[in-house]
Amino acid sequence: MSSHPFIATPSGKQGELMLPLARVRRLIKTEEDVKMVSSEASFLITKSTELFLELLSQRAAAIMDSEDRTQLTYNDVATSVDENDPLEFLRDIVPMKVSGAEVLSSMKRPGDE
Amino acid sequence: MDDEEFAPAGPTEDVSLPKATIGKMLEDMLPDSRLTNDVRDLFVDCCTEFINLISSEANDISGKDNKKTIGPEHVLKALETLQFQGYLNEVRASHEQHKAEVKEGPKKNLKRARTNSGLTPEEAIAAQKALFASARASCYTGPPGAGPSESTGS
Repeated sequence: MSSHPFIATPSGKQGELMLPLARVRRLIKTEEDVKMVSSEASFLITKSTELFLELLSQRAAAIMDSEDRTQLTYNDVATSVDENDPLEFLRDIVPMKVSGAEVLSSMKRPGDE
Repeated sequence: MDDEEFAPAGPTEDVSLPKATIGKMLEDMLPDSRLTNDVRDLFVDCCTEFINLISSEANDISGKDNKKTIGPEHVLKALETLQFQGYLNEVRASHEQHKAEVKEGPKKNLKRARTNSGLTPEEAIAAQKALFASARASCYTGPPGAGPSESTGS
């Protein structure tokens, strides 16, 4: 049971937010060209972000589960981003990591062929 | 009517989402998993990026709508455009719930406060009287130099 009065269960009480509305509002405003945003729109964006977090974490956890692990890793997140189209916008933030050996072997060196 | 005008935050301002809150949410959503700080930070960054994405798209949509303010309908449209239609129902429902709660807000809180302690009004008043009495008593019987019973105004 959380001691914090405003954080409910993951599914949350529908009308309440877990993320701080004011902080999200400031983030919205740092976006270029944004002049004004209504308080309702700010609420919706905040709520959507909470749902997004749930989506991303569950996708990553599914990969972790499928390999019988309990430690969530960077690669779990990177793989979910790679495999889900709506998460394409994250591909620069969470790129798939390639091992050095793989990079080297995929590089064609002059005189190798 | 709920339009709010803000000055743009400016390019040098570094705003981020609270790590602790997101960490707690992740704990609640994935109770049997462990996360390192790095991975937690990653989720924070992803959420920030999501907000940027939605804001940007909603802003474009509001522009096409010839509006200077991003409104709720623009956000819903943006979710659809960005392939997050799955959220629409829940987000809409949450919005309705929020509007309803905001309307009832103050009254609801009063009701909760009154019934929270589990005492009837008479019991509560009696308890308060007892508290005052004991506070007064301790003012007179406390050891000398224990501290001023009157506030010095600080």
